[in-house]
Amino acid sequence: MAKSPDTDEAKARVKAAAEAAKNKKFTPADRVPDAYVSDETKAARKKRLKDEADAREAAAKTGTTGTTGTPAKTGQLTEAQKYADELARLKLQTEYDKIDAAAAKVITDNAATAQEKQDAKDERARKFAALNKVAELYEKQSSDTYATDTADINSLYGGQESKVKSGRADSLDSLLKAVTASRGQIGDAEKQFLSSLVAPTAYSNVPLVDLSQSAQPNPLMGNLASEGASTAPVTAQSALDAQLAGQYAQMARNTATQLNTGNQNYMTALRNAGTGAAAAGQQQLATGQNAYTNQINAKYDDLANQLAMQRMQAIQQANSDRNRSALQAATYRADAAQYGETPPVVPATPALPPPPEDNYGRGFDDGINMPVYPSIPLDELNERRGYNQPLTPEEIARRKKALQSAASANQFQYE
Amino acid sequence: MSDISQNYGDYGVSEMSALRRRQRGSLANQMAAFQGQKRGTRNLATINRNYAEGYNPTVSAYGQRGIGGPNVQSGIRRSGLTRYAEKFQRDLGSETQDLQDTLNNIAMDEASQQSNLEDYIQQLRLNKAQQIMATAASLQQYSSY
Repeated sequence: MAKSPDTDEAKARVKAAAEAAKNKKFTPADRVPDAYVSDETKAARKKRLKDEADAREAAAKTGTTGTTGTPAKTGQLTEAQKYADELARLKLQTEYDKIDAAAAKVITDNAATAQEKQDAKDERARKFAALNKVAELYEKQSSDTYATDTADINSLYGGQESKVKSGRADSLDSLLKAVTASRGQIGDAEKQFLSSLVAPTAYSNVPLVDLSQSAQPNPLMGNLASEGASTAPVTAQSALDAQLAGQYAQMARNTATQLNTGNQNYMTALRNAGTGAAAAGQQQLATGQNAYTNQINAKYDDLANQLAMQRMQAIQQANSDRNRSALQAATYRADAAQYGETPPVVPATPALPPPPEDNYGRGFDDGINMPVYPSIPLDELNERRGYNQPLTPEEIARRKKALQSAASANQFQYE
Repeated sequence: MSDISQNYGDYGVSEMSALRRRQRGSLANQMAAFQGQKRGTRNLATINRNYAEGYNPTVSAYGQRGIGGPNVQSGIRRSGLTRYAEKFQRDLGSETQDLQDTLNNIAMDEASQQSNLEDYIQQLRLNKAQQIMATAASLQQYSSY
């Protein structure tokens, strides 16, 4: 039996597909595991081999050759052979179709796998870049926010701390001035009061009258004598009156003297009261000065402590924000590391300080720097000092290691 | 009382008011002394005049009663004249003592008023000084600390 054109065409397609797949130039990214053969394909191949073996065995028994069922002797196909041939053809066609589908699937799968790999690679690159970008943003945020926060904290609390310090000094200075002025006022008041005290004279020179020695003469004494009457009772009465008048006058003088003594004592008491009040005022002033000094210091100490505590809390908050951002950055770096290799961070090499300025070799002698040494050319001097010598790899490695140690020790962290 | 009134106001007004009261009192005392002296002198003159004018009628009364005359000096008449003169002397002494007491009382009142004035003024000055010292020592402007 002749082969079906469809079968040939299918075989040709399979072969072409196999050739195309074979000739396809794969890139390392397209590298996939060995060609996939499905279980159905394997079963179909096994079944096909078994059918071919069965057909060869049946042909041997019936005297026919091949699978076409051609009669060996008569040349006539039996109805059974026709059905068998048709059945075999259909089976074969089915098998070819399966193989063709499997090959097409392999091709499609390969293409899809390559695209998927490319997509996956691109996606990894995008994720790597995106995560690194986010990490950079967090790192920048960490440093920038911390710098801004610390600057704000220094600006805010530095000013307040200065005000607290100057306020304490002003208050203490004001208190000292007030105490000094009060001392002067108390002293002046004491002096003014003492100078205003005048010795009392109200009872010292009272114009008291004593009429005992100026008794009126009795004009009838002469008449009594001429009449022969006695003058003794009149004289006695006059003497009694004089005595009483003198007694009363003396009593008045004694009273004035005693009152004057009382006034003198009262003046002394006033003087003592003024002096005592001044001493008490000075004492109270000294006590008040100490008390108010302590209170002022306590108040400003309290303010300074509160400011220090608030400042510490603000710094802690800034550190916390910085650490949180740094943690976020590290987390994103770690996530990015799943999609690529993060280049090592090499800390920037700080600029070396300029060499000390001198006037060696400049031909200038000011009499101070180089009073006795001859001038040396600058290049020669630099060469002596090693300024023009290139760094050796060992020196570069040593400096890098020192810088990395400093960076790991957080010595370059902004504070 | 504010610081200003303590230093320059109320104390000065009180002192000046006391001085003016004292001046009026002193004038009154001087007037009272003058009046007392005048009254006492007049009373003494009246007593002298009354007893002088009454002496002759008294002597005549004894004569009319027949117990005295130009040549008759009875004991009753002498005794009566003595009592008359003694009473005259006692009235003079009493009036003189009244005059002395009046003048001395006025003088002591004057001294007492002057003493009271001086005490009052010194007390004012002491209070003033104490107020100034207390205000200066209080440091009130720092009581807020």
